[in-house]
Amino acid sequence: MTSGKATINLLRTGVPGLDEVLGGGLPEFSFNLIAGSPGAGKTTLAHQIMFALATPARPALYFTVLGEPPMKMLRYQQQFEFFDSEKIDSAIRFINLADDMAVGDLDKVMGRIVAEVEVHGPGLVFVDSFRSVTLASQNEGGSFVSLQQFIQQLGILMASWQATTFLIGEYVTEGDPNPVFTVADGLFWLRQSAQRNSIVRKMEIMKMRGQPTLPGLHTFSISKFGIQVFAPPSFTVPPETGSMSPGTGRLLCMGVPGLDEMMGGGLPHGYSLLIAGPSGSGKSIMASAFLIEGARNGEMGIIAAFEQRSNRSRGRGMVELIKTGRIGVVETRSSALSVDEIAMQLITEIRRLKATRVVIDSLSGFELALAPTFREDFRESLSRMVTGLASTGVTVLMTSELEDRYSDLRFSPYGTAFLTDAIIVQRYIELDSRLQRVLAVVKVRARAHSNELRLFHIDDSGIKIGDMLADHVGLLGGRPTRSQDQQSDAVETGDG
Amino acid sequence: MQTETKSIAAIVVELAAQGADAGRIADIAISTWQGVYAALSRIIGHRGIAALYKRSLYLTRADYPWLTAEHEDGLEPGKFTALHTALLQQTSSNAAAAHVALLQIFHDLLVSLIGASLSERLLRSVWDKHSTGLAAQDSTQ
Repeated sequence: MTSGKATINLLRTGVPGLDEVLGGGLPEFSFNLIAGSPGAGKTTLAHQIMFALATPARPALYFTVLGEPPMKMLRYQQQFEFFDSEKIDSAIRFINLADDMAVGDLDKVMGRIVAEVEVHGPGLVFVDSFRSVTLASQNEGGSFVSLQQFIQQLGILMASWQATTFLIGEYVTEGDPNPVFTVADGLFWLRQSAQRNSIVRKMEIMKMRGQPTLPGLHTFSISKFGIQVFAPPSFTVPPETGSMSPGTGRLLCMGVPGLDEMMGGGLPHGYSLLIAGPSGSGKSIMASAFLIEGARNGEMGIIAAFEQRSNRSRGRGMVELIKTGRIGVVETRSSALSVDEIAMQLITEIRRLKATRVVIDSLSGFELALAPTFREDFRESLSRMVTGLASTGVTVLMTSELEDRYSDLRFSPYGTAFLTDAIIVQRYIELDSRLQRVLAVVKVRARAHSNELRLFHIDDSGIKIGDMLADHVGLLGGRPTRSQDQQSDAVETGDG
Repeated sequence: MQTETKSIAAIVVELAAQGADAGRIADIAISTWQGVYAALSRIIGHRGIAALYKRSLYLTRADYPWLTAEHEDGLEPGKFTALHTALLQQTSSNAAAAHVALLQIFHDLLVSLIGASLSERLLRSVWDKHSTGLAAQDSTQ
């Protein structure tokens, strides 16, 4: 028995990502507040929602009060793709209240709003900006109605007229016990933070009655298409690329001879693998081999490249596959990204190509591409992204730059090692007056794998895994020595 | 839009050529301006339209110096009394030319600010009324 309860329709806001953050959409007839500092994108958000929702059957009234001169607003808003001149005066009416507001009489302003609402019967009402209403009421002192009464009246009026309403306002402090906050059903807070030379825009839904909104700050960008909100990757996405759950079934070949055997047969489908190693140790080559092997088996791959490199240095095999579209590239030149933004780009690309193998090369470059403000919670965001990617059913390979430290054994500089299902470590060692490379499979979750430290070298055809150095000890110290029983005149190491 | 301002211009100029007096031209001009005011003031407010009008007068004065500064301040909401008075004092062809120039400059200014398509959208009703309406009126005479 579900009948008898009020049904709340959810409106699609037309802002990519916002409906997800709102928990499905915007409740119809809600009374909302869009707040934030100047330049945060409040008016743009309001316009984008309005142009998406307004139709001749559900017209919108946009009241402009002091604040931004309407001519400027129209001048700049029409630069966005969503701005459709044809809707103006048919589905959307702009009404200027500056002259009523100049008198400072809220009664008069209210009267004007009521009159316009009665004439047009709007389904959507916007009042921009509300701060000027607040200021006007403060200046005036002896108003017949207080601001609180004004807002309450407005709230009641709009609800009874069945109009979804937005008040747009600048609020400097969040702690400000503004009466609007209590009356509002929804509270959109837009922020922009500048750190070093990056500006990051974030949106928070501080309140939305009756809706399971996604908590926290969500980054968004403003482009010529308007606002795009980067909702955290959803974990409920059904795997589109395979019905097997991670770790069961199929093992993926790594494309490096001998490596599959070391990993206990290959990389389990759906796993995430971290390849950590110092600069130049061959992480990217191993990552390329992984994608090329996939393409050889008819799988689609994606590389998210954060290292500044030309196509040439990617290797001929990769370039060819990228050119023919077998491997998609997610490339970012911006230096002010959020993890969610990159995750969304990746997931879009995964869906587009139906990709099964994804490479992130490298986490170190990725971290540099992030806006400084996100670096603090890099680990949390990365964890979210890895989980999000895993939920799409892809197998992920990430590389991570690791400074060789011979005094301790580390796998990643971020403590990201625990996030991944499998880890391969590459290191340099000094041997016979040469700098040699060794690798080891550190972990493959829930699978038996080799524990050997194996020499490897790189030639034109890729990585060649060699033997164990069974007669040496101290490999991880970087300066191995021959075992005592093999050779009596072994050089003594520092720690004896 | 461009063609519509031209058609308004053509009508006024033709009326002047047909011997309509300055009073008739001034009435038509003011009626057009009131239409423009009604269409725009709702959206950009009295101040917004007053500022645009003032700037247009300033630019038109280069060619029609008799549109003097004193006319700039006289814009009461929706009234164009000062413009009416100024036009009345001219020959009908001069008044028609000045009106057309002022309207064109105002229109260009608006287009430069909010773009041609939106300007056309907002002023469509004015052009409809004051070009076809007048043309019909003209033919009945």
